[in-house]
Amino acid sequence: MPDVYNWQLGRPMTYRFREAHPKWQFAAVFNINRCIACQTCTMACKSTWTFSEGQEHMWWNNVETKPYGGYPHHWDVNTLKLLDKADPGGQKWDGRTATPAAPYGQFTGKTIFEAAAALGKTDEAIGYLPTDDEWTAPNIFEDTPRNRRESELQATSLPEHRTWFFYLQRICNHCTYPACLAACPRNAIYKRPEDGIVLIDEQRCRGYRKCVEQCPYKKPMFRSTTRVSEKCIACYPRIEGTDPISEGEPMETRCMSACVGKIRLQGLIEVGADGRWAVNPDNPLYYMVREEQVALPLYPQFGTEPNIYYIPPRWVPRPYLHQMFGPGADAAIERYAAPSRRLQAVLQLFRTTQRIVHRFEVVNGHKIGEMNVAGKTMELFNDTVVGFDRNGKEIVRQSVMEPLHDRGPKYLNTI
Amino acid sequence: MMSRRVPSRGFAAGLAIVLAAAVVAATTGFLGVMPASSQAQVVQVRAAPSVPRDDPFAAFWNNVQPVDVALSAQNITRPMGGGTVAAVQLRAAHDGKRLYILSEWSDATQDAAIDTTTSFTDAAAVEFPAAGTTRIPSFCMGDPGAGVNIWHWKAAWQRDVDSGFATNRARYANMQVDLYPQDGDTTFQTGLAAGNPLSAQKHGSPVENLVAAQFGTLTNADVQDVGGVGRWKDGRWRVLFVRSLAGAEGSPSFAPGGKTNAAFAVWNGSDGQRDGIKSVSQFVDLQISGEKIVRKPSSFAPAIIAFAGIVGGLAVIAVFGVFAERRKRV
Amino acid sequence: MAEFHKGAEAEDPFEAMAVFVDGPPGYDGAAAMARAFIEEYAMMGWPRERILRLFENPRYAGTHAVYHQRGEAFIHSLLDDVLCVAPAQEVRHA
Repeated sequence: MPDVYNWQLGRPMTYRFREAHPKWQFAAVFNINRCIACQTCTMACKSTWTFSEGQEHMWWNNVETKPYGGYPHHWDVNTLKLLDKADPGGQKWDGRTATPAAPYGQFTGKTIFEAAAALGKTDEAIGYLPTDDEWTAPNIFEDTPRNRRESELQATSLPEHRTWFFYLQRICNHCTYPACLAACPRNAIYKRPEDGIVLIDEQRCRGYRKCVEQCPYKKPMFRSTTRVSEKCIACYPRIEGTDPISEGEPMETRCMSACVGKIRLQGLIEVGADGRWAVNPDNPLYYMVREEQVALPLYPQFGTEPNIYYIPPRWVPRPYLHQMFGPGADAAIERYAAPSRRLQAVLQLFRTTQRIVHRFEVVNGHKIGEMNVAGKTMELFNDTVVGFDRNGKEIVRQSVMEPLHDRGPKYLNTI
Repeated sequence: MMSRRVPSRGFAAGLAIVLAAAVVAATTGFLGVMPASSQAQVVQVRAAPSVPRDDPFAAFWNNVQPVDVALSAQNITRPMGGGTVAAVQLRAAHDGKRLYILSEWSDATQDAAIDTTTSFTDAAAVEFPAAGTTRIPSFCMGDPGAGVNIWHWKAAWQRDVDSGFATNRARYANMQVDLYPQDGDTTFQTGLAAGNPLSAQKHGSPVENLVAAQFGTLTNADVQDVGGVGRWKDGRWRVLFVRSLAGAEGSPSFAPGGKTNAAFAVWNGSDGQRDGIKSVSQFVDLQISGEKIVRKPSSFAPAIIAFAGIVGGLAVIAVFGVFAERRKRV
Repeated sequence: MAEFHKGAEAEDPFEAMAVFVDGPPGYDGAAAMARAFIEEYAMMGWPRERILRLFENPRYAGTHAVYHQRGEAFIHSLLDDVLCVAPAQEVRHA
């Protein structure tokens, strides 16, 4: 099997196909710190793509409550367990100094592909098929955390969570090395050369469910009314600009543009033939993922090189974050908690326009205050971020301090 | 086949031959297995004036000598697996117009539902060299220079044909749904809208006609002209494949006096078997002849013959014994 | 009630559902979360009074839970610590 280079692991790894890269890659940054789990993204997706018979269990976008929740139930714990079985105690990073080709150091453990080989499996990757039960109740267990300070016999009741938790927003990662694509014996799954979106050919799929089994993120799903599998399509008509409301310009997906908490920013990353991201510090995604490195891949150790990046929640115990986001979590939190002026401005770009922002500029503003972050004083400035589309046209302008419109108590709960 | 010559000397020899004869009669009579070597196995396709098309357990098939074809796990391409069914028992016939192939194997469970993420259907397939091939294709899904034609029967399609298309609604009858917007608009039944034959809710036949020319190339054929029926009884599936001897354009044709290669496969749904995870045979020869199928005498006949053989043998032994006793006395 | 405490068991079907997930020694989850919320809003230029309202109002379940458990003084001490010079946000009244 050929070797491909996985920059998230800082090393080559085995994959079914030779290395090949799209011209542009669909990617997004999700800021976990600001998610309120309102599920507006979930419903935006549901009401656009999965409202029909046979899709009752399908949530291409879901938001689960960690550390307890999961959709399908325990998807990540199950996969981590399989990895641990293939490589007991060996799923580690070497702690090497970061380089551009290996920003998180090097992963010395086994990917889902390497684990399958280590276990002598005749599949491309380790995996399992979740049962129907596991696909139901996507938010079950989210309210069961308990604190040992209380009686262990008494379950927590709403509205109080008494232990740490955070919300994890999940869509298909449109991976660089998709396990679903490798697993499909019919080559009915493909990664588009123009934008890196991973799709199932609904005409060629024969419902074997090898993709459902081997995608570690469990985002391909089986549909009993058509007897074939379906998955998140990254709202490709919007990305292409072929959706009528996009007026020919690339537009963010439904889940991104519906985000109430302003936690999502999605765009397209220019990728070179060697798989490296074209250096572009003025692209907001490139800036956050590669320059500031505040946004990290989800379970990079799986080895699929996922393309949704997360700003990790900074109140969560670090070992948990290291397992979920790799060794980059500490630096990401450090940089995010006390952001540079530029990062602070870029964070204001989130959810200000449906158009895809290809480039941004920051216009300096005056000082508005000071904060104490981890014992250090941080100055706050009312800088303005300006976003441009792919043609260089200004599409958004937003200051750090947004004007606040107060309805007043007289109008509370009135519409 | 029955030995009427009774040995005149030796008690042991007499008993051995009598028992051997009885065993041969019993096995060939009851099980009807034609001993065949693993290579160059031949399945004879003889003629009959008419062949029942709706009942694979019809008495007609008792007149046809079955052939056991060994199956093994598919270990050549991913996904690998299967091998849980050791053999299929094959019978075949033609009526001058149509070819009938009856595949039989044991399976403790009847898996005909594809209504959950984890449910897979039982299935059986027959594979032939595609029309116009000048050499024998690889029995593993053909090869780019020589394709194959595959007839694929699915228990799930059989259930669709027999009692209608079933989805998870049947399994989860109490599932609450407020409404399905755009219900009835097939655009949102994506596989169906894309023209995927697997998503069709109505099938003219439980057997899908397919072509392939390498792993991963399996494709629904332009003409769907293979009929058939599968039935499960007492832990055994019998699946009958039926197609006209003269195939549609692009399909292989068969004719009395001709010979073709055929390979067989079965899938056990409850073992998660699908695609390459199957029990599969190598090519056997399908010899199509004008010779008629001889209607066998009553199925009790071999038993009667065997019984007569044993009784006769014992009588001989008794006579021999008495004779010997007399000689002693003399 | 330490005698009722049960550690994580890999084969327990409830393992990932209702077992307390420890932080490092001295880790105070509620305080860490409350502080993060304050920092997030402060970074967007929210004034102190508005941030306090998120804790006082029971409709904001997450923040109010901390307020309810730890009391108002605790929230004030966090606000004092985070906000050295609180921004003065422009408010347009509807």
